[in-house]
Amino acid sequence: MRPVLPAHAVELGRIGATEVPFLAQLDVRCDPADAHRLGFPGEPNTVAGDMARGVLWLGPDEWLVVGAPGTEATTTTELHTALAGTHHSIVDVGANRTVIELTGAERHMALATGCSLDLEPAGGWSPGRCAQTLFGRAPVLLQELEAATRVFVRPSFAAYVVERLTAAVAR
Amino acid sequence: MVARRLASGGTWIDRRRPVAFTFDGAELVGFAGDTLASALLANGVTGGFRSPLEGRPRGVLSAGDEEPNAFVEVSSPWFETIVPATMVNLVDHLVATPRAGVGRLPGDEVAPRRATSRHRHVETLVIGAGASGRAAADEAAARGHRVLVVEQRHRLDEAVPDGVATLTSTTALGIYDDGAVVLYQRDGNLDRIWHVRARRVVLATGAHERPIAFAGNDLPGVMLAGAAHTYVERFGVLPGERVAVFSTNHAGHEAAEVLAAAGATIVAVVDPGEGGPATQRLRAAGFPIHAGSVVVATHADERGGVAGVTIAPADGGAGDGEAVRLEADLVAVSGGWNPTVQLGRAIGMGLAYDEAKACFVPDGSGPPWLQVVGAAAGEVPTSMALWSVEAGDDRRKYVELQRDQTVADVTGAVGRGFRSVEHVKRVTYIGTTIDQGRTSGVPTAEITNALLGWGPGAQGPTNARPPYVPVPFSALAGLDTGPVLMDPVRTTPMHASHVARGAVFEDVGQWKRPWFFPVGDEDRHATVNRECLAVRQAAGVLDASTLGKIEVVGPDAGTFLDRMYTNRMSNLAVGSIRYGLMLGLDAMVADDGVAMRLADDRYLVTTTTGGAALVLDRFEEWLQTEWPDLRVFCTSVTEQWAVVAVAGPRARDVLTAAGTDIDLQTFPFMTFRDGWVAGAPARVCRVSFTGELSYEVHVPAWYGAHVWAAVLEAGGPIGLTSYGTEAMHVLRAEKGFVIVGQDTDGTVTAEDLGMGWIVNDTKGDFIGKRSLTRDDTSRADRLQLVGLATDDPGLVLPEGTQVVEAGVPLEPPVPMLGHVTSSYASAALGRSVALALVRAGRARMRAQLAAVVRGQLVAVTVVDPVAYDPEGARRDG
Amino acid sequence: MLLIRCPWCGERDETEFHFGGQAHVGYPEDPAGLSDAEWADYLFMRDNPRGVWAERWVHTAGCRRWFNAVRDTGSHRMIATYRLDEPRPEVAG
Repeated sequence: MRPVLPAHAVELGRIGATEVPFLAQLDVRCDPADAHRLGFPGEPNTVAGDMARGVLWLGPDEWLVVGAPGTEATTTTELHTALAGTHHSIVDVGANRTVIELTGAERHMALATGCSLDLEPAGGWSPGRCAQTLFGRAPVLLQELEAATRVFVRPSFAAYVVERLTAAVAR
Repeated sequence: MVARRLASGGTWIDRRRPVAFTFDGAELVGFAGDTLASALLANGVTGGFRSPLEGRPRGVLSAGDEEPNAFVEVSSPWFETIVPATMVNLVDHLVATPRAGVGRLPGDEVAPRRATSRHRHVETLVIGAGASGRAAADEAAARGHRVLVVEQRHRLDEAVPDGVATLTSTTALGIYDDGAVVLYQRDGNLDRIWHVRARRVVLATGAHERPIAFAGNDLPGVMLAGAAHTYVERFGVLPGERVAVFSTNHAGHEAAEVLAAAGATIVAVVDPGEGGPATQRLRAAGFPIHAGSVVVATHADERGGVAGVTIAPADGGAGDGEAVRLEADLVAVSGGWNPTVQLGRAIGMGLAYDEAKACFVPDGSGPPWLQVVGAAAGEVPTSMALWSVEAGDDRRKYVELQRDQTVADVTGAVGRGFRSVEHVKRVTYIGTTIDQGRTSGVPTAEITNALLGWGPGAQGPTNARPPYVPVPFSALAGLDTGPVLMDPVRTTPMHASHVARGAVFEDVGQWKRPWFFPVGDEDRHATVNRECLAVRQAAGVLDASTLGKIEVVGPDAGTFLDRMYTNRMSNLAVGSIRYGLMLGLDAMVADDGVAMRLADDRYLVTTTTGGAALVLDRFEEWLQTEWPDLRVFCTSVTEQWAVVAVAGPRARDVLTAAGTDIDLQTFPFMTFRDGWVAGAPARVCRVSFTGELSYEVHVPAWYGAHVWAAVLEAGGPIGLTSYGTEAMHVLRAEKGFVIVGQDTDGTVTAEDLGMGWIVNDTKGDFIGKRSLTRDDTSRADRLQLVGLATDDPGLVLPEGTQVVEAGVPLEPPVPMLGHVTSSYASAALGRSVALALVRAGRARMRAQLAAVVRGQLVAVTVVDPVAYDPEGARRDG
Repeated sequence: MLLIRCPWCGERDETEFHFGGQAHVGYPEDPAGLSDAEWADYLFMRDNPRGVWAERWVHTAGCRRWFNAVRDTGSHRMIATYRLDEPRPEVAG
């Protein structure tokens, strides 16, 4: 198994950027009522759970369940059981996106060079929020943690995201 | 004009910090805080510029961004193509050259400007850091808003309150929908474009002083009165020694007082009206007042600058009857003030004419989130209306200094029948200038109104459009330039290996796919031949990871796919694969791919590389907007799986050597098996795009690079050769397999392709079914897919070549029968192969036609599209 | 640069969306029963008013949901957005 970026950690100066590879990621689609029963977040663009298992809202009937590497099989079984008898879909998308974790006080400013979301607290962006949006020309999923921002991105776009962040930080 | 630096004064300059600069080759010195214009005046440089069209000598007219004359190119310490000298902040080693209206692109000797951009959200954006802007910012900050104040100049007159962010040297280029504002910040050699989204935008852009048109009003030495005032007060520069003031409002009178206090001799204060309290005050102080009078002419000295003026009673005025000629080197003119409204007008703010102030002011209309304050809202001095002076030669009364257009030119346009000021603008070019009519727009409109017998304000000034100031394209491009950032470069998990092995890549949309893998000093032709022969004779391996992949899950998945494809998918057995064609509602082929049934309620659908997003979008569109009752969920897994496709008579041996637990001996065509390959979990599919025995190995992308390397290594001794997209295209063309988007173009049906067999008429409705029976879709003479064999086997027809009747004379109009869609040299067949769309092609089998190649007719025969192994015997190895 | 209110994600730049043409033009119940002219009308003919009308958008870069919007094509102003299962709101132009 190989991570997407050639070097796990990328030099971005005042901003830390590390790839967090091989996270378990399941794209779960089901009826909102069933999701609510499972404790999935009902409010758009919010995250429930914790670092061991986080559930990110992607759409009114779509969530991304994120967990530690290697846990996708057990989590899949667990969710199938919990959703038994309902119309649902659980798809392993662990390799479909990689995660770049940004740290540092200026990380939101760096993201703002390519992202038109309001990423300031005054704009409502805080830990526990997530959002699918664009960074430059790359589709990304952002998740705000306590002192970091996770950028979920398709592997084919990861190098572009890093390049663009690097270019932005240099100016 | 005789200008000099005063011994003291100047609120913006720091006399302890001299700054050396070069203008038009001359080395001069100014002070920190000067603009280039103020520093030039301080050095007695009062002309130095030329008008763009007639080359007339010109000098500085203003102290701001309404400047129509004094444009320069800055070539050091950074490059700026064209910018008014009044807005250039003087810095050490500045090198500036006058430019008459048009800039030049720098050569390689100049370091290119760097650019970046940033998004920013605020509750209140204030454009302009003058008094009213600062007050608006203060008030918004007190309400807890995020506030941003932008100011064109490099500095603020006064500090802004705490909690208010400011950007200087920043110009608002345009205001757009819903409070979107684009800002252009210049920071040395770096351009930064800010994309601001504001809940509220406050326009505090002030007002521009308006000139008056009179004969000879374009000479160096004619300056706006407010500007003359500014040069004294802000920069400690006296722009003239003997000054005639010509003003319709009290700004001119204030300028007279300030200039006099600085040591100038005021030779006349010319007031076209009777004069109000300000005039009385000046008269009482001993200033020479000419009430009810106008300046009717200037007189030039040998250098072309102002040396004198002639003053005469205004037409119908109550002044003395005689004209007076006086010596003067500066004429300070003020015809009133125009609120600076261009940014607001472009987003729908309307204007109304204010008679007392003789100008256009915001009328309160426009977007609710846009607010105008201060002078921009109309808080400007009252003024009588005087756009041009009656007496004198109209051909010398300049209205648009940047286009050398005069009152006579406006009169001529109206005389030729143009009534709208927008038409006058286009026929005279007035207002099409860098400043977009800041000094010319209102006078032109009013002179036109008067000529048509309409009252003042009947038509408003010409429209100005974003950008408010010139901006380099490089600034707007920002970071999104160059091979890596202009558009994302997308690569597969095996990319590093391809690069290391010398692959030459081609762009497939945003993806880099190996085009061919040259060995030694092979050219492309030799490489592709070698790769094709390897696949037909031994085995080849292709990175097919870019194919779109979508999981379709739910009890109604089969029903859904039956509606999206032309053929039936609901009866596909679990473990089986079926090729499918998707049509648009108009029955034209839209995409193709295979569907694999993973379980009763689970399919995995593949699409073309370019179609991945489009197909998923279309699936979701129909499910959400038309069939919300279908129990189907779709999920994109395009990058979840890397795909290693092994093809050729020895493909089975290659996989065995790489290591797999899958039984390859009893593995039927168009089925798939899950298991392990080269130590990685894999789904192996027996599908073939080459016509050879072929296995597509799907592994989670984390294992892609490993499995690719393992297969290459294991297959080496067997003669396994990696091949790229060019060989892939040749191999499928030899088998007559179409590529959607190459052999189809949105106007081609399944029947046209000879694939009527894939359309299932017995199932229910599907996308495109109804359009299949339209008259036009079922015509017999539609373009149909055929093969073309050139008489000369070595001739490869260029793709796009037109097909015509044999022997037809090549004089227009030549009836076109069709065109070549795919064309290659085939190593396996030792000759060229081509696919073409030809009118009623299938009825012309074996016919002799012609192809037009470089203006000559080339003989071709219509043949079956399948040129190689038509029985399909090679498919099972 | 319109600011479009996705009914789920809230306000986003228009670059996150894809325009989907006129709203409330449903797929015909019985396409086989329509004449060629009637079918062509469904396929190709759409209203093009100057003024307030209802149109479809999809939040392509976000939640990927389709929704409807009421917009004034004359002023370009977005007046309202609503979910597919909600009625078109009554709004003043």
